[in-house]
Amino acid sequence: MKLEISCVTKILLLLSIIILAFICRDLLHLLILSLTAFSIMALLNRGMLFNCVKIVIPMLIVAFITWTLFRSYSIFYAGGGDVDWYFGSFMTVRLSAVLATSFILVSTVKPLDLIKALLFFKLPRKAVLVAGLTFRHIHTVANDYRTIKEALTSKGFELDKGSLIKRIKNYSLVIVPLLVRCIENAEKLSLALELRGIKIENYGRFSEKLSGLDILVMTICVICIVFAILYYWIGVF
Amino acid sequence: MEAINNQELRVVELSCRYNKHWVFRNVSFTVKPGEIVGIVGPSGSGKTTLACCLVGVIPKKIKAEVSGKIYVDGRDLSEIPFEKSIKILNMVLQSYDMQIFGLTVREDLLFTLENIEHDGEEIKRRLNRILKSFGLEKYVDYEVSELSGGLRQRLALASTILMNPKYIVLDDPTANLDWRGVKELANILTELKKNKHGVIIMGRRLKGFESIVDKVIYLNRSNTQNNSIMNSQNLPNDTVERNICEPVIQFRDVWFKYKRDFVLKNISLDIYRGESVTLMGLNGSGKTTLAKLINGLLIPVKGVVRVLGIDTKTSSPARMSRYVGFVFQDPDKHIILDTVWDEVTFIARNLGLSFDYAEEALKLLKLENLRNEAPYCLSMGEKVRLSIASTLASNPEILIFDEPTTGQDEETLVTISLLIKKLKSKNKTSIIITHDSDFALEVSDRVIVMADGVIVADGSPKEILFNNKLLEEYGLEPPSILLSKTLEVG
Repeated sequence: MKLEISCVTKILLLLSIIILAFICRDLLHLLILSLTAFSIMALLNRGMLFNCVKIVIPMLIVAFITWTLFRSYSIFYAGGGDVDWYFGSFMTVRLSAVLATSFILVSTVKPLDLIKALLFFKLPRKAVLVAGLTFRHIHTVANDYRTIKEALTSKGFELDKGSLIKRIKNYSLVIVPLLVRCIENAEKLSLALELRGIKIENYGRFSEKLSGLDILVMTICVICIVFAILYYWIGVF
Repeated sequence: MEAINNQELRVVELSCRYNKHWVFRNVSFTVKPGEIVGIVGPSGSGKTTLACCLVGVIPKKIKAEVSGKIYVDGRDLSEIPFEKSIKILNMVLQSYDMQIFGLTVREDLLFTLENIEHDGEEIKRRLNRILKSFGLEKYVDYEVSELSGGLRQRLALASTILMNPKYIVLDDPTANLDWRGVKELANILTELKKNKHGVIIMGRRLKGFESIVDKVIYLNRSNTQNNSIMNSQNLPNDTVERNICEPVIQFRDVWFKYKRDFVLKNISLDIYRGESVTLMGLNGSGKTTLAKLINGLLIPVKGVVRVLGIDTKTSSPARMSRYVGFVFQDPDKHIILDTVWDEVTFIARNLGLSFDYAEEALKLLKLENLRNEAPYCLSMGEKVRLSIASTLASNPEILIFDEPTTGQDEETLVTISLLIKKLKSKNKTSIIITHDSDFALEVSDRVIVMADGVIVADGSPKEILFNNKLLEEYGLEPPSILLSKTLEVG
């Protein structure tokens, strides 16, 4: 079985899990949430699940030890015993839900999906256009940064050598040509936009339509968040 | 005076200047629908400025003093609003990457279509038609960053064509293309010609377009017409002479990968002291990766790279810069300091060397009078010479030139060519990465051809570049002398 939902629904679903992880105060509820996140991951891509578990498990072990044994050193410590197994488990499960969801978000949501979601939520087109162009040109800036760094290294300059202050100073030599490059690119980009006769009001008029499954998933997400707020914060039920 | 209401683009006595100096003066020519006109000139001759004037960007969007007239199908361009004129006359920029707005091929084409078309069904129909005519169907959901340079340029051209301009200006379209990309572009331009589009190609040279260009206009800094598209060449020896006792660079069973796939596969190679070696091959064949392994910027995944006996795994690239100089492609990216002198002596200061070699490099590259100038104010040719001088200031044993011919004028090319010969006379080793077979013939005594991460041919320039089978199989640019013979026979 493969999960076939729109990018807008996917983003909303993932954000809902993260929000719920911070609202829930019950270990069992959190456990269900965490399992849901890992199940979605398995449905999307089993390889991703394996990679995530490999990365997340050491972090969860450290989190469990820290929150269980050293919670009295936390700046949020509000009394109670020094060792608290329940609290350690609760924080670890919460962290696992947030990490798994973030992992899905970073691995599967492409910049284009994010732009579609912004358009769907009726954000100003100008802002969405700028966001789209920014995403489009991130790799250009990253390439320029890498090339400048390589050129400096090829001239015998060791960027990552010396004290922290010296290293920060070293990086100023990367910033100047990178800024020049960015300004040049911005000029070219504005010229290219002029040549294409772009009208902001026309940008992204034909966004995708939602299926029945999308609407169902979105509705469940909203109901869960509302239910969690009523249950935990307002005290209904 | 001829009537000016013909169906043509007519440029009459066009001149342009930004401040005191004229970029070009009194340029006149006509382009008819279904005609391809080449405008050839060295860097700094005003090709890009002319292109911007032709599409009305200058003076409507970029301020400059312009005299003369441009008529499009009998109408004065200056009287047509810019929003309308770009639908008659448009342009593909030299940095075509900047003209791609979408994250995928589909998104980029839709970006333009949504701006000019309001019917969803018509958008789909036009999208499918343009994908088919530009051979982009199978790449439709590819991310732009996954496409080769040739495909990205094709996409930029396709997006421009969506606006259906009658006349199209291409600013130096071959600057970053390999020979296969050039031939693909030539095929697309032939189609545009058949569909009665008027095309203007700006460039340093028009190699690959000889059979489709109807006329050529030469533009140089003084706007006299004395350039030649074809270079005259002396044929090199057909054997490689090597100082076989002393390989300065040794690759032994070298494998390298960035992420998933290996980009270099089991490379074993010896380069000898005093050799001028040219690396050729299609974009993505592994040439630059191989060069970066030499100066330690990259470290092999498997195998050993030894430079002057030093295993590059045991030395940092900064330390390797004492022995290996790397002249990068785009000098603008690497200028960091305030004066020419500071820039040239940067490497010497980093390595704790004396400034004698820096002085010598300044003289050799005729920059001694510019030592107090700001590097950003130099011309492109001067910036390239500065980039080479700043590398020579450490007196390296090995010098690597990455695409030194891209966008360069003849004068700079001659300077680089003479420098490589001088280095050879001093028994220093040069490695040149280029698609330009004429330049390879001029400067090298050995040519290595790479394809898909392996060395597929290694021999003298004559053995490699006059072998039609090799040229065809690995998409190498044929030397002009070979092309001119083919054209004569044709």
